[in-house]
Amino acid sequence: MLNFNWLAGIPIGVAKSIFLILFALIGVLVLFVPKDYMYEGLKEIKWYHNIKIWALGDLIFISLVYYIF
Amino acid sequence: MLHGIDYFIVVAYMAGMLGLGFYFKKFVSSSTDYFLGGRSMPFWAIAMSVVVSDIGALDFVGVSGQAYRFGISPANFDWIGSVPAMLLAAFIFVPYFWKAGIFTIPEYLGRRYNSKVRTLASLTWIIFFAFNLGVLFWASAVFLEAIMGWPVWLSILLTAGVVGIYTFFGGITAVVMTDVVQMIIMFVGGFTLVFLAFYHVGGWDAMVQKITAMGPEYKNHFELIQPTDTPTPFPWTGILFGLTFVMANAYMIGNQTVVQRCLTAKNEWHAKMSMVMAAFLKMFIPVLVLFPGLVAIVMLPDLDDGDKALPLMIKEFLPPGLIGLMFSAFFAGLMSSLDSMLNSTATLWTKDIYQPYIKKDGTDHHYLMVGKIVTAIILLFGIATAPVSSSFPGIYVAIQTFLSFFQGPIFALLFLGIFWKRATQWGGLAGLVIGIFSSAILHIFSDQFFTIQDPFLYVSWWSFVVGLVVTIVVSLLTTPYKDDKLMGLVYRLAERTKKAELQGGTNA
Repeated sequence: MLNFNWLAGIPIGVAKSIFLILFALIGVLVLFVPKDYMYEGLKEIKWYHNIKIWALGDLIFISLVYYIF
Repeated sequence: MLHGIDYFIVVAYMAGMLGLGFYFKKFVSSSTDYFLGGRSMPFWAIAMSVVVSDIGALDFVGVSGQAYRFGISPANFDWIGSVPAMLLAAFIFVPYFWKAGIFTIPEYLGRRYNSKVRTLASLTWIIFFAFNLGVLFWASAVFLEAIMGWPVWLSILLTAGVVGIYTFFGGITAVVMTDVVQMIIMFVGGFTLVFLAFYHVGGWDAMVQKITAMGPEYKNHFELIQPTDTPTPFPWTGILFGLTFVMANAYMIGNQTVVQRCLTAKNEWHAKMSMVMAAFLKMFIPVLVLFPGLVAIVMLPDLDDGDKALPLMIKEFLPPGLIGLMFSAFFAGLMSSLDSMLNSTATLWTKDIYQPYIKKDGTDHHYLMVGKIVTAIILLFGIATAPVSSSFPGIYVAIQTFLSFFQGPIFALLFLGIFWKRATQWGGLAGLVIGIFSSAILHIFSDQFFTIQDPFLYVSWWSFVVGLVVTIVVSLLTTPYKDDKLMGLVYRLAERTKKAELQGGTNA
């Protein structure tokens, strides 16, 4: 029970999908963060100050790594 | 192993760090400067500092050794074991910590719960850092003696001298800015070795082909997701529940050395962006520390100990000059870990113990001096306890185990503290104490609870669950704080309260 033995029957391919779904879910949550919250603390706003873009970049990068390996 | 040019590079690196760190002395005139860099740091410096502080000198050797034995699965710690937690920290926790104007994580816990939680959390970190310092000094010095031939005492005194001087005088500004240089050196040295190693092995595809042809025991060497019955300590269930959901968050959100850097940011945007950029840089760490171990499987297939892989790879592939650069990278890893521990311990002691319990009404200059004195005392303590750790071979494991007891429950408190305004002070205290106790029980009787050899990932998950459940149950039985007291400490409480008031007004 504490070893999560009840998950032992899940195929590795499905387990891998769980990780990829997790990244996708985090990506969706990032998209829902209010826009003004991204820029708090800045006086002048440029497009590259949007933290969402960079966070999604991180998630795409790591998703590719987990997709490949 | 080292040539004249290598010694020159190592010594020049040390002198450069000393000079750079000493330069930042002139920016320290208050305790906020000393502990939070005057809250003036840019995101890129904080990001680089967060990443380099996480990689110790021994990680180069240890992770390469794990790659030699287990393949790429240890990379989970730097990928899924870092990136999601860093994004959670960037979007939710760090902005709230920054806006609250706190110096330490226990200070947040004190405001959110009560002073007992703050003191318990702070003392745990102080004890961990203080003892870990001596162990780190000793283990690194022994490693350097083995591969460079330096006497142990020379390595300890040299690193302690350089790190101690710049941390004592320059505070966290010196720590962060030297970390920036240390990260560049670490990346240049590490990538050079990886490039030359791949050149010799014939590239990535050739290496994969050769390793998988070595036998069935290597069939999972290039799989990040390992089955639940894997012979490695990294089954996917442990990686998902223990590492991703608990340990990574506890480290990135609850570790003073990490969060203190974000608190030095010049504004909220820089605080958030520092973690997003750190997550990006963190994804390259496995390339530096893990790939040499993989190449060694092909180039040096009969090693009795995987930890010998990296030193032998350096000896085999790097020309004079680059060996010096690689050893500077080792020192960079060591020094960035040591300076973080020194400054964070001084901050914890001064802000969470000295100021509330010993001298409440001191001047800012007084607390600045206390911080500097504590830095010196902790450094001397680390030097003094370094040889002692050699008499207790299990002390490193014992210290890490002690910290792991704490990780799950502390994340449960932080998680409920920021997302659930109903969490009460007594719920938090009970969750922390019983959560730590449950960790100890699970660890002591691990044979009866778990079937794998080293179930630390599972222990952290279940202690988190216990901390979470106990905090919720006790909170529901006790009186919560009023919303006014929790403003700025609970996620979007101010916005939610304002919205409720507006709706109430509209309805009326």
